[in-house]
Amino acid sequence: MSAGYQAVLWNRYKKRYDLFLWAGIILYLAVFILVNSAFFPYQNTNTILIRAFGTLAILMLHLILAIGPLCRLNRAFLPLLYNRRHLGVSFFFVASAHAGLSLLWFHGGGNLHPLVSLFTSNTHYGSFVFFPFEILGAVAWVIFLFMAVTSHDFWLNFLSPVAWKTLHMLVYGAYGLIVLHIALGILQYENSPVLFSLLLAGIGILAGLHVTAAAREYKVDKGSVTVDAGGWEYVCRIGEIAENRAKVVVVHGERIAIFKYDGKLSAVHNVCKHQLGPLGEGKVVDGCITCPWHGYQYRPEDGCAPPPFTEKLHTYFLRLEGDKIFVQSSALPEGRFVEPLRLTESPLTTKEDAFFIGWSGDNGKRVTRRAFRLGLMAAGGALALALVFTFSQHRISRFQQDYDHVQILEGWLTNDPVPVLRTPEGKDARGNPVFATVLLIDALKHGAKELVTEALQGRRTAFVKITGYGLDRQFISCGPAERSTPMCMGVGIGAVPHFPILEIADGLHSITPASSRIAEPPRAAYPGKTVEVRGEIIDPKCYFGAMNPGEGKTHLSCAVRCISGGIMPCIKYEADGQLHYAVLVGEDGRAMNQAVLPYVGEPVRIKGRLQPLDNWEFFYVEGGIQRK
Amino acid sequence: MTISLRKAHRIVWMILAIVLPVLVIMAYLFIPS
Repeated sequence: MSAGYQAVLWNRYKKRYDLFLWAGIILYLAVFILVNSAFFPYQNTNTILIRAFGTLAILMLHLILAIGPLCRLNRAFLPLLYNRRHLGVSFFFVASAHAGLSLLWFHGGGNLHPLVSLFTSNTHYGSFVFFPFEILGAVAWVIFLFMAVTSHDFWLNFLSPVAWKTLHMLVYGAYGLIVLHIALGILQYENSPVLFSLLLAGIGILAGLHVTAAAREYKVDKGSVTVDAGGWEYVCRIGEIAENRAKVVVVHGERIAIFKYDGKLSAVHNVCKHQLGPLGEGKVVDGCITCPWHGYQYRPEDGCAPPPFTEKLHTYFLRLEGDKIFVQSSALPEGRFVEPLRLTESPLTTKEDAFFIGWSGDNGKRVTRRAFRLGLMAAGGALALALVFTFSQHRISRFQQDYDHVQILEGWLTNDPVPVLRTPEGKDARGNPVFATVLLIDALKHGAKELVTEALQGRRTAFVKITGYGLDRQFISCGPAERSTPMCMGVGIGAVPHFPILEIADGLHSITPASSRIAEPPRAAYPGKTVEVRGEIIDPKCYFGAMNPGEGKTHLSCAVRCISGGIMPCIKYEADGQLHYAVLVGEDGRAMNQAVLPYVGEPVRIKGRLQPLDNWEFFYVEGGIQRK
Repeated sequence: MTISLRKAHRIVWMILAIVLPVLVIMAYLFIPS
């Protein structure tokens, strides 16, 4: 309790609670990150961090939302409730780390502000399966932010407990948004029955607890008895109330708590002035009714908090008929003194039952040990789930762009039809020169068209030397379905390292004229054939390099940002049982980045001319893109 | 809590208990591919 406001009113229990909480948070993150790094060494570090914070946040949210009904159903959980706000604010920090990393990773470094990109990259607002799941998480985050900011008692008093409590019930809506954020995001991406089952189990446990607790409360509210003509309501017999405890009755929709203590009886309004806690489930400690939630105290005879505190409760008249207790249904003004009823029987000397008071440094070891055991169980469960999450992943994204080593490639530079460098890779059996085509891109989520135009200085082609970052070859592995991909096709051919894409290291400075040792290669091997393919539009930088494989629902917005920023779109399609990749260009050979944006990341059907260029294919789209 | 908050809490969770599992199952069944 406090008569004024402090940032945090620390006490011994809160310090221990927070220490345990943050030790648990750090331990979870450490276990998740280390196990992921050990078992999936090539996994993208950002993906590991995003998943570590995301999974921890959803576990913490479930724990937070379970504490309330658990306490209603079993008092043993009350020690977890006492400092729940710190748990909530800690959850907000963890969720913010997940949100911030995701925002920077998927929406940062593009041609739009990340926050603008968040709302405009995936515009499938009318579709259920393609709905921009990130928005659901973002709206939930705003609710969590609002709740974290207003979590302090200053706001509780400023807004009034009823308004504050009503506003904080928005967390249930935020939980629904988070469930859909997961269901329409990672659940659809991973398509994992384990994640699906865990999510359903989480919803089932939480909904089951809340509905059960609500049903119990509903039963209490409906259990009111008829008030007689004089306004008196029968409560119970004296012996039915335990010493220092209360019996709760409902009169005209309001709960009244009748306490028995020191051979006396007093009645007060059941609702604590702090956070509307159930005083009738509290206990008389040191002569004061003590709320089970946060230990706020009131004198039984006048409902006033002891000085210097100022909270006051309504009081009620009581009447005894033999051992039957009756309460007057009309509430007296808050803080009105009512002489307690004296009982003729002497107080029972019952054994003291354990009662937790958060601010008290004198809680019994039994209570604090039980709280510690509950905390250990929660932490152990979370760590076990960290392992389940880790090993249920089956779409591991590798960071293959090698930023540790600058690569130098020489070849013919052109913007026709997209920025590429055609590097000589030796000669074939007939002695003809063999070339490899490397797609050129700029830093972050930007294409290299303007850079190459500037470097060409009006020419169609030029022989240059380019420094940049390619794929790290030690991470390249090719399964049977991938052997025809540009990533695998040219590896090891000739003396020059072969890369399907190259990120130009330092803008125009990285492109320097070089002496041509070999004649300019022809533009295409043959005119191309008209075909129709079905596949998914991807951005090659993320698919092959930065987020390998950057594809699917969770990558849709990032791919839109990359392609919108000028990186050439590609289509991934399957033919003859093998995966193929082709750069998409318009029928006239012009870039079609803007035209493909509405279709990125979803199944499409495209008709056009497929024309090979060295190790790459170019798809000259005819008649637009159709949804499959 | 007051009776109106308890009622709101009860209604919200009854809705969530029905709607969320349905939406999660739909999301799992209708995966874009």
